[in-house]
Amino acid sequence: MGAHHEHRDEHEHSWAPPSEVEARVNALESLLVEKGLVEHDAVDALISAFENDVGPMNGARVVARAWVDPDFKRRLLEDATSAISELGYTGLRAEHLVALENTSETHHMVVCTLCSCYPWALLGLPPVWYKSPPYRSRAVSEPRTVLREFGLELGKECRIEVWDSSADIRYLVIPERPEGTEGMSEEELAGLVTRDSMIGVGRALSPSEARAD
Amino acid sequence: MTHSLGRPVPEMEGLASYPRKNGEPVFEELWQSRAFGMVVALHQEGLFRWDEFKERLIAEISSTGKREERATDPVYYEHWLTAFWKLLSDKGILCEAEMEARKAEFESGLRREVY
Repeated sequence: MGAHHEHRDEHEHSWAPPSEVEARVNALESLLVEKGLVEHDAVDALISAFENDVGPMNGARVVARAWVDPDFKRRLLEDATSAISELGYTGLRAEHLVALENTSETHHMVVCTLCSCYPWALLGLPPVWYKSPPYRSRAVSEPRTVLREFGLELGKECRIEVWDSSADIRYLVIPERPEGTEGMSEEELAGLVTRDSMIGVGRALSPSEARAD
Repeated sequence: MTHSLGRPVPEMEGLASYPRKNGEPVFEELWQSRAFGMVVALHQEGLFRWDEFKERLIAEISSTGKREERATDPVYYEHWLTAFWKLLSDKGILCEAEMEARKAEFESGLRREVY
C-alpha cells in the first residue's frame, strides 16, 4: 500500500507545520520504524482490516461454502478452526472454533454468560445486545422467549441448545439453507447469511428478503 | 480468494471502547489511525500484554472525567496516544529525550518524512 507515501511526497513542496499531536505521532512512528519494532505496511494493514474488513462477511462465506460443499461442511463440523483456514481465515488466536449446524430438529444459539467472547475474526464486532446482561442471562434461562423477541418462532418439536462461549472456545452457527436457493452461486448465498443467523438468534434470509434489503 | 486477516484487533469495552459510527470503528484523522495501528502492531509483536495498554488507556480516560458517549469522540485517541507513550516509556522502549528531539524535528520541518 503506497497511498500514504504518495500523499506525503506530493506535499513535499508545500510543507505545512504539523499539529502538536501529529508531530508526536510522526515522531513515535519514525522512531519505532527505525528501531525495527514497527513496519509501516503492517500498521497500514491493521488499520485497513479494522476499518474495512470488520463485519460478518467472513463468517457468511464460511457458511455459504458449507451449504454448497458437503465435504467442507463435514470438515467444518469436525474441526472448524482447521476448516476455515482452508478459506484463508487464520485470524483466530488461541481460541478454538466450533461450528454448530442448525436443523429443523435442533436449534443452536450462542451466548457468553461471563463477558462477550465472540468469534471476532469471522463476525466482526459483537452487537451491543450480545454484551448486555439481559441477553447473557436470559439466553440461558428462557431461550425460547428470547428467540421469539428476535422474531424467531420455533416449533415445540425443535430442541434449543445454548452454547456458552469462553476465552478458549468460540462458536459459529451454520443456519439452515433457505428454500428456493438451489440455483444460487456461493457468493449470492453468502449474501443471505446474516450476523444474527450465525449467532443463532435468527434465520438466514430468503432470496426475496435479501432483495428487499 | 485470500483474506489476510492477521490476528484480530483486541476487544475494548466500557470506558475504553473504540469510537464507532453505526457500529463500525471510525478514525477522524490520519494520525488517529496511525496511533491505533502502532499500538496493535506492537502488541501483536509481543512487546506488551493488551491489558498493560488497556489499563493505561482507562486511567487516562478516567482522569479527565466522564467520557462522552458519542460516535466521534475527539479526545479518545489523544488519551490513546498518551497511554501509548506512557507504556513505551515505562517499558523503556523509547525515552523522553529522543522523543522530544524527534518531535521538534517534525515541528520545525527539519524532518518531514516519517519513514
